[in-house]
Amino acid sequence: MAELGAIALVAAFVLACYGTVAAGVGTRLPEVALSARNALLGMFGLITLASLTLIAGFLSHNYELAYVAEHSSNEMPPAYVIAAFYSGQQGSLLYWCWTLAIFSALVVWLSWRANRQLMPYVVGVLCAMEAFFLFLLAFIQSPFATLPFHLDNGNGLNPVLQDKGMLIHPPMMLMGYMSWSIPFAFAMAALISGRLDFTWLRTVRRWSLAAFCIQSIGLLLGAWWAYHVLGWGGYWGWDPVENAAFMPWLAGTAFLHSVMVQERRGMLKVWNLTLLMLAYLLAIFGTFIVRSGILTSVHAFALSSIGPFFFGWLGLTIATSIGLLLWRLPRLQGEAHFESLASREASFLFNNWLLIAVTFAVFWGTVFPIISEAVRGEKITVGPPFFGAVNGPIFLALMVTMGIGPLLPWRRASRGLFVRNFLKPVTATAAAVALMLALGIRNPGAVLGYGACVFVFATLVFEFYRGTLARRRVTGKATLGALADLFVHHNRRYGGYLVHVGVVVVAVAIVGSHFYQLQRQVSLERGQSAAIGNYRLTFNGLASVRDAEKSTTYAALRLDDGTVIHPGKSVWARDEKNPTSQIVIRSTPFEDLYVVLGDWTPDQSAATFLLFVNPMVAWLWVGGVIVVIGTVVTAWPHPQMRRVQAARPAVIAPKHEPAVATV
Amino acid sequence: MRLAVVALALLLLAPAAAFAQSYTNQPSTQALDDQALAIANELQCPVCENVTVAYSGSTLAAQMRQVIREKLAEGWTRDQIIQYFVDRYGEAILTQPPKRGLNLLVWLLPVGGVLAGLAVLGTVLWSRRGAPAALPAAVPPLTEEDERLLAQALEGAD
Repeated sequence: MAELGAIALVAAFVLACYGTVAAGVGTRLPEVALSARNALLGMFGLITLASLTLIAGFLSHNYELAYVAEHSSNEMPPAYVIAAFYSGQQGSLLYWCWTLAIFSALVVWLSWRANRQLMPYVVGVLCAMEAFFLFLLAFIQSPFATLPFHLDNGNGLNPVLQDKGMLIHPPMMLMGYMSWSIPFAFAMAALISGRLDFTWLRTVRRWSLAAFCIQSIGLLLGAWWAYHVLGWGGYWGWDPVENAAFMPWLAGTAFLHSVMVQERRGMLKVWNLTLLMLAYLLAIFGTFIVRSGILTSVHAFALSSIGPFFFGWLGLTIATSIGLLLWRLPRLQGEAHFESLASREASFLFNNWLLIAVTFAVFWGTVFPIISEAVRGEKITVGPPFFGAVNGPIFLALMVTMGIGPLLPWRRASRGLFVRNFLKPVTATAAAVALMLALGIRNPGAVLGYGACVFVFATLVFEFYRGTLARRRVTGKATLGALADLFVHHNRRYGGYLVHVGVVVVAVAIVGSHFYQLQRQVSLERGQSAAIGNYRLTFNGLASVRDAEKSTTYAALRLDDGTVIHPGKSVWARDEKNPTSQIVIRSTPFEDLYVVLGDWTPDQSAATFLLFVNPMVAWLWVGGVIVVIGTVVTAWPHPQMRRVQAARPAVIAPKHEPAVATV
Repeated sequence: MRLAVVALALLLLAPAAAFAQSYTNQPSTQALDDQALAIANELQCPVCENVTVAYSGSTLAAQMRQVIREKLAEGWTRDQIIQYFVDRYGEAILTQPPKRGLNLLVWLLPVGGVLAGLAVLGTVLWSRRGAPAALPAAVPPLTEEDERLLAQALEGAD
């Protein structure tokens, strides 16, 4: 079994190398290009075979494989045994490689005919990227390494990871990292081939939306998991692993906005390519800092066998990207100029500036401890206070830009249009701020944050209202039908607005829980009670349950409405020093009561609890789901567009639309 | 000598007394609990990844929380307690680096980066503002055929 997997990986590596070379030759000779494509598909088959072999190894508890022995045990439920596949370094690299192969095969299947001239280049770049990962897997960190002795049982999986969220969050996250490879491959292919026209941009936009969508889901699941499992009352801790996932998402978000400027006005060509490169590099960097051990210590990095290779790959990618950009610079001249600050394109530039500023701050805060340790030999921590202080104001500015941008026309806005578009949203915002102050909401951060939320939401309502009205006039449909029409016929625009609605809802949750969280630590003897917010909890005692892997102690706490909640804590046989928490969360639309069992006295007569009241957190999940739905709506292929593309696979000239206020 | 023995006994008993005290929910203990929570929240759990001592489930963090309570009960100040842990675990235990020396770079560079970005943005927008839009390079010059069609259409428009 180990041999089968190892051979499949080596063979896939050979095919990836062949595919890269053949694709290069194939740009001149069509038959060779076809061979390169088949090499890519063959590589996909072999990586699939290797992955399934490893999964089979896990399911059959084949402890001959070191990786299986290290990450699973006989007692684990089958679902977690499969999840153990991507829980370690080798397995997660194999998973990365596998999903890239799946996406590569999809790219070939969807785009081979439509982008005949560009595709050999794309295939070549994809094969080269796979070759790097396959090299690591086949020769440096094989998931199929065997143990020289016999084991009856394995080591098992880290208890914190034995949670339902772990079945879906890590694969989403890794796939999210991987998915920025596809837009990057297209960007590289366009640069190498010199086909820098409009066609590749359309394809890339859709793949970037896919990556954005997958990463959004990954981040959302990560927040959900942190909130429900880690037990510190929050959903986002600015920890390096979270930051690593956040950065490509930010760069990709910047791209998805600025690419519209290029589509509409033929500007920002170099910048858009740079953003795609940035997204990919940050994705590789993310995979690398999560997987190389550099976070624990610089020394762990030096000892890890893959760290230096990742570093080399990053360097090579940066050098190649910059070299290609400089080489093609003459072909990347903008076709128009900025005309006014009060224009859609200027607002997109502001959006990009802010998003990149957040990316930079997050990057710097994440790598500073590493640099500090490497340069000064002194470990330090850069934690949430830093990230909150730096990014808070930028997020606020981003929200305001999000409200202003969609109401500005391309090229320039006249004074009259400016006043007409903004009078109502600004009035609504002023009214909301006055209401908040009257209700006693005085925290400046909260007032500004919620003010921005109201402003953006008002502009969005205004846009939907105008669109529906126009649609009703044109089609004669009823209001609801006209509104639905917007999503069907103008899915890019209104899908994008739906994403913005989601972001506003997420912001409502973040502002509420950030500024108005209540927390208390209480020590209670049996029969005593403690109060937090509008809740009073009475401690009724403790009870323990034991199973094969762990012993769990539950507390009984009675709420004033008579319900009894049971927060608990599990001590695991394989890792007694790191117990896991069974948190109880009582969620309402306005606040969550969040209860964690802390320590208790040996005679179980008294215990400590961490109590939180987290306002508005339920909206985080609602908003996240709206973002994902909006992204899918935006990316959905327009039926008309599909016909046009099928009929005219050749180059479509960029359109230059007159500067009319958009409907 | 007798004094020393009494002092030692008191020192040994103090933690136990503090422990017993921390499990009675008197208003004064609650204030102590809140204070302990705030301090624990400023310290990174040394054996976990990115969890403060306040929220970590690890045994070490539990012991550290206990130490914080004991020290508070003994009348130590917040700064003293934090210094106590920094002496033992290094500055990495603080959730944010002390704002001095090279550590200031953490704060300064992002601000510098944001401003540099703004400068670039300003240059791009300002230098081009008001400039007439150049004709798209992709549009080829009109052929004679185009000119004829255009003239025809313009005549028809009248």
